[in-house]
Amino acid sequence: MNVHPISEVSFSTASDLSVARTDPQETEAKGSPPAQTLADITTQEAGFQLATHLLQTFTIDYQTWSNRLVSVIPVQSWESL
Amino acid sequence: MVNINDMRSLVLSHKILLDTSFAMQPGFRGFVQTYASEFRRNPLLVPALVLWELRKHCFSRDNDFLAQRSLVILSSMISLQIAEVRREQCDGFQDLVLLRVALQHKLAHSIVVLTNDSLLMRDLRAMWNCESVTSRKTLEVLKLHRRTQQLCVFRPHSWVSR
Repeated sequence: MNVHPISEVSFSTASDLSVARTDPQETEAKGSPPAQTLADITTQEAGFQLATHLLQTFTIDYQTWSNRLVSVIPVQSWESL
Repeated sequence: MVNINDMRSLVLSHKILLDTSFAMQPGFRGFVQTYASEFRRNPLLVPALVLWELRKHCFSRDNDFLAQRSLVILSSMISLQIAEVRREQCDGFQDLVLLRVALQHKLAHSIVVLTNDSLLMRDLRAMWNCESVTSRKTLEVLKLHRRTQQLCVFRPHSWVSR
């Protein structure tokens, strides 16, 4: 897998997400009541930070990456569903 | 198309499992927005492999925009505690994880799998309807319609409900 430096990944700033808001390909469900404002979901600073972190680090293989993931976010087993 | 109120009930009464193919749809953001309140009470279950696969797509030339956006949305959901990341050491292939987890909890939980992968959908339904282990719990497989991005029941054209 080719891993690009983080500077080449384009969502590291909130302004990039404004592009997503005007994505012409997206069709929102008509009549869907806004249970929560879009800003609450997609512009969380913590979300940007976590997403950036997920991209920046652990570029080895899935098992190594996911083993280290537990130090960044809560990861639970499937057994405790 | 799935009625919004029906889906709200499903989100509250079922375990909701996410597949990468669903997260990569343009309508994923709208889906999250619509059911955010329900996910606060019953978080979306995200295999760690989904984050890994989105991460890989972020570095590809084809799907980078949707993958980046979905990774941000899921990261925000995780931060807001309306999504939970799940994994086992043996997880290695995403479709197999969803099949295994659905079978593992077939007797204990009703399950919704969110996927746009037709092969996975067929295998899930076949597994759930196996005759050696029957359950009163239910399995729903839902997708975002390719053209309208509306949430709809995902079943083979020849499907006969049991």
